[in-house]
Order: sequence, then structure tokens, then C-alpha cells
Amino acid sequence: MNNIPIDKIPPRGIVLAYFGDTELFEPYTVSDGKIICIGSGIFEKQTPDECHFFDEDEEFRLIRRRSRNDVVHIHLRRVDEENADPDLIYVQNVLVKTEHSIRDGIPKTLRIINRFAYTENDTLVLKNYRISYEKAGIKND
Amino acid sequence: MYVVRIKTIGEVAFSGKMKMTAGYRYDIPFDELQLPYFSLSELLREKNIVLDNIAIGAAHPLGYTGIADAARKLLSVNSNCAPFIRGAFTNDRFITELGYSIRSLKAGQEYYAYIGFAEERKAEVRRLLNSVKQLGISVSGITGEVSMRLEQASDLTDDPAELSSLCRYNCLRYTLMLTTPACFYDPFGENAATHFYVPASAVKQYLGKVKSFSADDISSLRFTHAYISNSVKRLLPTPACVSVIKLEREQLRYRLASGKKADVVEQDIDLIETYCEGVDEHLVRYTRPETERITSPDGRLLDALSPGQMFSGMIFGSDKMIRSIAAHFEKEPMVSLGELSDCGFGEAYVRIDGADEERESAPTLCSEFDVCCMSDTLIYNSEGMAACTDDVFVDELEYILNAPDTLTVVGKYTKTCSDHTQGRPVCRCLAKGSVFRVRTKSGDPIDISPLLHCFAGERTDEGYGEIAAYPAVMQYYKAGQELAPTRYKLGVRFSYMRLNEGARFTTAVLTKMLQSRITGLAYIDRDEYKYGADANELYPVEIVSMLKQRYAPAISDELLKKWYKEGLENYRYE
Repeated sequence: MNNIPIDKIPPRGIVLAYFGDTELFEPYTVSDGKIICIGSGIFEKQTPDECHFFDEDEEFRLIRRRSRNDVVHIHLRRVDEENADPDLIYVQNVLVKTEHSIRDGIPKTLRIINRFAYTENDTLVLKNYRISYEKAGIKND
Repeated sequence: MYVVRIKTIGEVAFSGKMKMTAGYRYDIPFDELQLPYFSLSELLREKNIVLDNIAIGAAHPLGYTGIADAARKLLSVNSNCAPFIRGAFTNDRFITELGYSIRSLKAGQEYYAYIGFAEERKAEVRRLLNSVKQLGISVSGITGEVSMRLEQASDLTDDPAELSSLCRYNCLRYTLMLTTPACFYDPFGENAATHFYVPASAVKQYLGKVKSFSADDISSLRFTHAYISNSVKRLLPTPACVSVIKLEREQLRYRLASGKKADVVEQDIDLIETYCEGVDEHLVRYTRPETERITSPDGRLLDALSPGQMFSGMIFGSDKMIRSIAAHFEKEPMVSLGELSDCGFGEAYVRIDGADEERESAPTLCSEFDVCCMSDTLIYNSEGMAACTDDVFVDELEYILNAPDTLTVVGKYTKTCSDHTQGRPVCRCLAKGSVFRVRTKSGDPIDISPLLHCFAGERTDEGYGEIAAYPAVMQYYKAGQELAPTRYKLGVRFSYMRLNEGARFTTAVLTKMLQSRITGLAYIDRDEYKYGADANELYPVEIVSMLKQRYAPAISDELLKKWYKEGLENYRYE
């Protein structure tokens, strides 16, 4: 588990990771400091370009920046959105492709909470977004 | 490399699907140089021959490189010779009963097409090709009878790149010339469905399929996009500062915007997707690559880059990889790129222009400099989001120069675009052509030599983030001039055999033109001949000798006189 800070990711949730030519989209749990999910072996072999660990309230994201040879860690939480201006929060419910949603533990829709802000030039810009889901939307959970 | 040699035993004509022209029921496709070329894979598919995993390029007349050069020179000297170039390969017949014309390839000619397949299937492919005895349609005396042969391609590159054994190269420069239309599909593009350049990913994908390179080898390389070339240099995207409306009195756009009329000589030019060598003080000479419509086998209409245009790019990598790639292209200079490459589209001839070593540039000190994005630049900010703002770009520059918190933006002209590369999340990037004028906060000069030509941001191995910088210069353009893309001017050194073919072709075409001029003279004199004048007296000796000097000085006078007399006889009753 090359440098994935296990203590920061939600203990149970869904992982969405992009590797060079494959993707991983599975429900996972953390136990004994290791990520347990179908296909988790790939974390030992390859470094992901982009990796999202999320549950309903939190997301922990790792983005690899080849230009700086570093990895950006971003932690997003629902509590931060509660104090925000509701006009600047936009929620999208995106459908998940059937080939994924029929699997156990994967919800039918993902909820994306977009956080906008105004710049000093008064342009609207997307500052960040958080991926989340509704537990009720998953079968067998 | 293998080629298919096709010999036309009878005349060959193609169905309307291959080419549609007004007035012709059956026509032959011609390229820009008026030379015939046809998609062999399409014809074989019409015969229900299955071609899985066999890539066949377009078929060209034998001796193409020599003939193409000769045709280009002929057309540039005298564009009236176009029908005669076509006439050297095709017969044109008008069928009066049916009221349409048929154009067919002459019998007894030879064509060739490059063919790619797995080596183990050679016997199978040979059998397949030998079994084909007829191509195209069979109608009114046109049999379409052909014979096909599989052969080893020989004598492909006349001009191998010479790489010195003393240097450690890190950059390979190449130019590719399209021989058939090439489609680089951009599903969400604004204007047309093809990129106006050859994307780095297409070249990378091609090299990835070559057996001798492993996936690790390819991922260690960095590719740039291949932009249109004027046969000498790689042209670069026109900076946004050139096309943006500015609010200064002298600028044409200001006057148009404030309701004043344009002077007669000025024009309002659309400079989207254009490429230029550089911006002069008053004039921008730009080129826009040309595109044409093609049809895919399943009937989709796509845009494709027209053949003949040349695109230059670079590959960065280790010395060993540079040499192996150069060696590969010398052995196999024909490549297939982009969409529909198995139908013969996207065929290109690659020429290695040279290789460069990594050079330490002399320090270039300036306190104010311009930075231009030569390709879409994707930068992630500290939150991991793709950003296109000034501060993120300046951070990146400061990182490259290793001078944090020293720079600030004076002015900029930027465009953003969304990158929809298949299989990856959509991101916003700074579009190619964006320019920034940057200066040091303190006013002290800084060394910008690392920035002169470098890569910034993400996905640089696929050509993103190519950046060029130069000391700030006061530039002020007023007018633009469009230059047509240079075509078919790869400038390879031709072998003696090729030059001979070209010379023979030129002589044949010019002789035909001379014949048509002489029969034209006979047409003028037909009335006098009809009323009993003597042909020998009518013969315009001076004019004929002038024409002879111009077109075919080596031809015999008796032949010219014979043509004249035949012309008089033929036109006698008109």
C-alpha cells in the first residue's frame, strides 16, 4: 500500500481509482491497516494516477502530479458544506453504468456535491467537489 | 515491408461508392496531384473477401514518388495539364445511348499498396491475393480483370537519416507526409470532427503496436503533437494575441467594433486553428490545414486531413530508444495512423529529419518575457483540480525556473478548452495558443533558459504542456496573409530510377498536351481545308515550332505534321 495514509481514509466505503490503463471501482473496508476489496492487489503493483475513497459523509482523494513528482492529498467532509452558502453548492445525482451497479455494494447513483466560489474577477469557478452516495441505494448492504 | 502489386489486365472501373462526380456514372478517385489512388481494402470488401487484422493502404501508381514529384512540378508550372495527367492513367468515355460518362483505369498499368499482417500469415495472404482476378464493376467493355501479387517492398527510403555514433541523442525530429486522408477523431470538437494536427497519442499508439518496442519502452518516451509543416519547419499554433479583439485605434477590430468601416484592403480574418512561423511586426503569415469529407465503411461522414500535407513532430527519449525508433522508421517508413486505418485512411510516409542532443542553453537574462503554450496545457493546482488561472500557471513557471514567488503576470491572452480524451475524466486546460507576458516582481533579470522550450503540467508524455518562452518584444500586427499548406514536398533525395520515372512521365504528359494543341490548330483551319486548300500549305510552321520548343523539343517534325493532317481530316466534317 505504497503511501496511502490508511488512517485518513473512511474505514468503510467505495474506492474509485484510475491506474495507467485500468480502473478500480469497488466497495472496500479497512482492517489491520490494509484496504480489503476485490482487486486490492493492484495497489501493491501500481501507483494510481487518481484515487478516491468515499463514503456518505467524507471523501479522501489522492491525485498524482507527475509535473511535481508528488501526490496531492485532499480531504473533504460534509461538515464543511453545512456552513457554506447554499447558492454555491450544487448537487448532482449521476447514474452509474449498469455493468457496475448490478454488482454487490455499488449504488445505482452517485451524488456529487460541487463547491463553487467567486473569484476576485467575479467569475464563478469550481473549487472542489465531493463524491458521495446514499446507503439506501445499494442492494445487499 | 510488403506490398501488393496490382496489374490491370483489362480496363478497371469502380462503383459509385468509391467516387461520385457529376456527369460520370463511374469515376476514379484522384488525389491533389491528379494521380489516381484507390482503397484496395474497400474493393476487396466489395468482393466479400474478409480482411481481419490485415491493414492495406491505398493503392498508388507504380513509381509513385518519382511521378508525384513530376506531377507537382508540372501543375505548378502549368495548371492546364491536370486533365492530361489524369489522361495518362485513365480512359474517359461518354456513352451517348445512356447519357453519362465512364472513367476507367487503362489496361496494362501497375499499382501498388502497402500491406501489413502478422508474418505467420504470409502464405494465407498470398493465397488470398492470388485468388482475386477481378476488381470493381464489369460493364460496357470494361472487364475489371486484374492480377495481384504479394512482394517484398524494396528501395523504400532514399534518404536515411545519419545519426552520428559520437552523440548522445535525446530528441528525434520527424516529418510525416499524408498519402491518404487521415482522421483524428475529436468527438466534441467545435468545428470539425478531426484535430487539425496529428495528436501525439496517435503516434504513440502506432509505436505501441510495433513488436520490437515494449510497453515500458513507449512509456519512457515523450511525444509532441505533429503540427503542420511548411516542408522546412514545424509551424506552431498562432498565439491568441494575434486573433483577439484589441481596443487600440490602429487595430482593425477596434474600428469594426466601434462601427467604422474597414478599408478596402483590410479583412477580418478568422484565425482559429491556424499555424504560423512567427508573428512579424505587421503581418502574420498563417496556414490552416485542409480537411475533406470521407465516408467510413458503415456510412458515417467524417472529416479528415487532406493528403499531401506534411506534419512535423518530435520524440524525446533515451539515446538507445531514439536510435531504435529511427532505425525502425528507416526500415518501415509507411505508417497507419488515426481512425479507420484498416480501411487505408491515415497512411503516411515518415521521414526522419534528424536528431538532437540535449543542449545546455546559454543563460538568457530578461526581466520581462512572453510565454506561449504550444499545446493544450493541463495543470493541477494544490487541490488536485485542473486549473487555468494565472497564479497556477505562474506557480508552474516558478517551479521550472526554481524561483518561487518571483514572477507576476503583466498581461495575457488565453483560451481554455475542455479535454475529452477517451477514457479519461474531462478537464479544463489552457488551450494551445495562450500567451502570458510575465515579469519579475523585483524588476531584476532572471535566467529563462530552462523555459525556452519545455514541458509543463500533466500528460506531457502525450504532448500536453509544450511551452516556449522568449524575451518580451513589442509586436504589433495589422494584417494577415493565408498561405496554403505546402504539399508533397518532403524533399527526399530521389534515386536515379525514380528521377527517370518522373522524367518519362513528364515527357508523356507534355507530348499529349502538344498533340492536343496541334489538333486544336487543325480545328481552326478545318474550314479552309474543307473548301479545298492544301494541307501542306495550311500547316502553320512557325506556331508549331514554337509549341514544339515549349512542350517537347525532342519530338520529330514528321509526327507533328502527321497529327496536324489527321486533325484536319477528323474535323473536316464538323
